[in-house]
Amino acid sequence: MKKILIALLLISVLLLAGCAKRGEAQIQQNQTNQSGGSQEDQSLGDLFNIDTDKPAEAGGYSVPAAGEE
Amino acid sequence: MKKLILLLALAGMAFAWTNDALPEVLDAQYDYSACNVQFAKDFVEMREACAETHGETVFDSSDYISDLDDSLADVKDAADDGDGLQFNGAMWTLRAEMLSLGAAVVGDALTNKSADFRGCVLGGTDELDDALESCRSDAFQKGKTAATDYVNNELEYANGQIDDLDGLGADTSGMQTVVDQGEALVDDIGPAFDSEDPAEVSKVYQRHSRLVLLFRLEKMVAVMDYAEPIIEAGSNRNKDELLDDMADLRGDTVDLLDECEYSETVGSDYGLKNLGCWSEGLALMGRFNSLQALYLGGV
Repeated sequence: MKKILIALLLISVLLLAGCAKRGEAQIQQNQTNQSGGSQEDQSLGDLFNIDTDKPAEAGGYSVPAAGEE
Repeated sequence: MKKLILLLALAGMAFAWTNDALPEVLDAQYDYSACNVQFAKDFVEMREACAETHGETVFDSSDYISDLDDSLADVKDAADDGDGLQFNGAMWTLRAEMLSLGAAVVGDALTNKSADFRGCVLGGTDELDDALESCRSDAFQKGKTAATDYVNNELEYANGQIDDLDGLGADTSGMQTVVDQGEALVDDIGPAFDSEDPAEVSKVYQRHSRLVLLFRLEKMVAVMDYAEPIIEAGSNRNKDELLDDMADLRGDTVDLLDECEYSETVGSDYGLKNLGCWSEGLALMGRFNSLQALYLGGV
């Protein structure tokens, strides 16, 4: 009976360890997928970015010389 | 992770491209304005000397001159900093003060003055006119080099953007057309500045402003056309909203491209048209940039 209990305990530990390992591997896989996808997403997202500053104007050439008239 | 992406995106926007020739462009405009301010100061001083010689009284110009000196210093600071917004504001103030001094001179001249005084002022003005012309000529030559550098920098930047999008397989033909028009504009910069006519220089600036706007609108269309099938085939959580917004924005952008079609001929309404086109264009650019957050928020 004792041997059976020990055997069951060992099986349970091994099963748990297996599950944990699979879970870890899955997490790693997910992280890899996420990382790869995010890079593509980032690249596409970066394209939606346009400069909004206005170019230089010629304001300086419209200042009159007081007295010139 | 999403927060990190958004931060990276925002950081990218914060370090937007700046044109290295901008301080050079502003400095040339400062020089031109400084010529005019110096003329105004010399003119008022000469007029006061004539008044003393011929027993006339003229208005007190000290406050006007003091204001002009302060405003010109602000213009110089903004030019040195390459701050276009601050420069335009300081230039606006300087222009208003020059007009105010001009009005004061005209108002004073309309009061009773002797013929000798008038003759003295007219004689003194000729010499000042020569100095003004020479000073402006130097400023125009400086402006020619600066404007050419400025537009060439932009063309290089634009070609880089085209290369990037070409590399992705996007249709950049609209952007390329604007770049070709920009290259033609470079050829017209020299003659405009050599004419030493502010109106001709202004025309080149107005054409340039229109081309910058059109290039950005064409780029927006190129990006949306490229991104649309990718988003359609993808699984972005904001996919439907993105596609709807992009379709609306694309339509509005193409409409504005038609409405603000480029012309090398600059008529009297070109500047006003630019103002309207930019106003609408900036609104579209804002909508375009907001797509980034919508897209990354659905990743």
